[in-house]
Amino acid sequence: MTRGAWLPALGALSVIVLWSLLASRLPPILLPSPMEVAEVAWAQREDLLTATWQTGKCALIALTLATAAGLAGGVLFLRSKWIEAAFYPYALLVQTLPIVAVAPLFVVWLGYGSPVAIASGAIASFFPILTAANVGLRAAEPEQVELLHLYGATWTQTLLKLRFPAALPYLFAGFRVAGGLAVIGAIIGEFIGSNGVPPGLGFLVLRAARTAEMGLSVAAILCATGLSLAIFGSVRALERRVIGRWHAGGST
Amino acid sequence: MNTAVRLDSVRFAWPGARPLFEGLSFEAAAGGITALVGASGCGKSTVLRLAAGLLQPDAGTVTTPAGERAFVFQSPTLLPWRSVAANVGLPLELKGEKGPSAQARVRDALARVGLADSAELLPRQLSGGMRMRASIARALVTSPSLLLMDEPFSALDPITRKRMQQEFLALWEAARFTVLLVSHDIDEAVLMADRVLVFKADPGRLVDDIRVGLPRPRPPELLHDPALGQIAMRAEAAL
Repeated sequence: MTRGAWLPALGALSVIVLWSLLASRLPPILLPSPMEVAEVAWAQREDLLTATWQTGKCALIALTLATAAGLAGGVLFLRSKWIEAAFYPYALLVQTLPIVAVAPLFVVWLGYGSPVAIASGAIASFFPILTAANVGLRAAEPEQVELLHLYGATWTQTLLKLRFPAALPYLFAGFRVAGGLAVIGAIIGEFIGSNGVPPGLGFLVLRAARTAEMGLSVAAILCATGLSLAIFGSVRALERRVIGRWHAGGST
Repeated sequence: MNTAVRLDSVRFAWPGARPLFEGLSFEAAAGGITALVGASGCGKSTVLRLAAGLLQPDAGTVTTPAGERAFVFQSPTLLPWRSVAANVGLPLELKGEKGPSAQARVRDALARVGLADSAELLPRQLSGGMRMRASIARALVTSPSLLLMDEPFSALDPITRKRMQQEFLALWEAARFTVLLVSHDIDEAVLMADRVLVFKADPGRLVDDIRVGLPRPRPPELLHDPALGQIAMRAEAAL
């Protein structure tokens, strides 16, 4: 095994050992041991899987909405410097919005249920995608733009045949960040506005904490982390598949 | 002289800057290779972009021949996500030409530069010389009447560079399109061109107009010929 592979494994093992030692000195109501968490996770695997699927679904819909809005914003900013100057500073405000404070408004507008989680996830993940689109759509080399101009390409042709493919490395970097934020946003949305039908991870964590089921609470948190990692990994795999062929060292 | 390109009292300035050149006039013959040499900042690349229609003069006129114009940049400017064939076919695609006739033109252009077997490769799978060949094929696919080349071989290693000069001259001999070639290498300019226009900077101006007059074809050994050396020395003295 190479050093790159066994060092993280050693890190994980030491965290589990430390956690076990700490848990053995604290009452289980404060911190369950890794073994207790594993047992609870196995016993309630159906609830955890349903909740992970529910939150994952909301996060993916949120990510799709944020992608559509972020790309549309990037294209509008590219099309008009006036629109960019007028609206980009306010797009930054979206980044600074405290989702916890805004989610209750979504409850008022959308009612209790999945839409609150989706809206919170979309708001949380919008800005990295908008920024990636804004930078990426301008990333084509000036000579490439001149080339298309010389051959009479229309604005739309330049966008589709040059600017959009050239933006893909930036967009995928944005998706990697946005994926984790969409999960966090969806869980916050579930904290505030879930009706528990079906329960997501946020709902499960909150319910478990209220009923002092610490094992279930920790297991749900680990599922949320796994979900973020799965989205990150999926984006990375898609990135390799779509642009890995030409991007690595493709400095032409 | 059958004129292909004419600049008449052209003035050009980048926004907020002093004019790059004022009252610049010259003519380039149809079917010939005219080289533009000079120090950095003398505006020779800008002249190419004016002739390509990528820039507009602030005053004066730029006249170019009817028909297609093509540009070969210093970097091959290939789109890395497209295959060699798709890169070469891009100008046709942008003009809405597709189908078997467009494919045949792409195949012909690739064959002319010796890339027939590399059509499906991606740019990153090509060597530097092959990338430049693909760039030239893309320029030739529209059968241009005017080809503008901005230091096309300067990023290549010396051996590849000499080979590309010869390959390009062979292509040009076969079709005799009009070429404006910017080069910072005086020997290259003299080897390839019928005329060498020498520019000086600040403000950009034409300081010498040299008719090369060496017989064609011009093999690489000509670079060691005293006749070529004399012309190169005259251009260098004007710089």
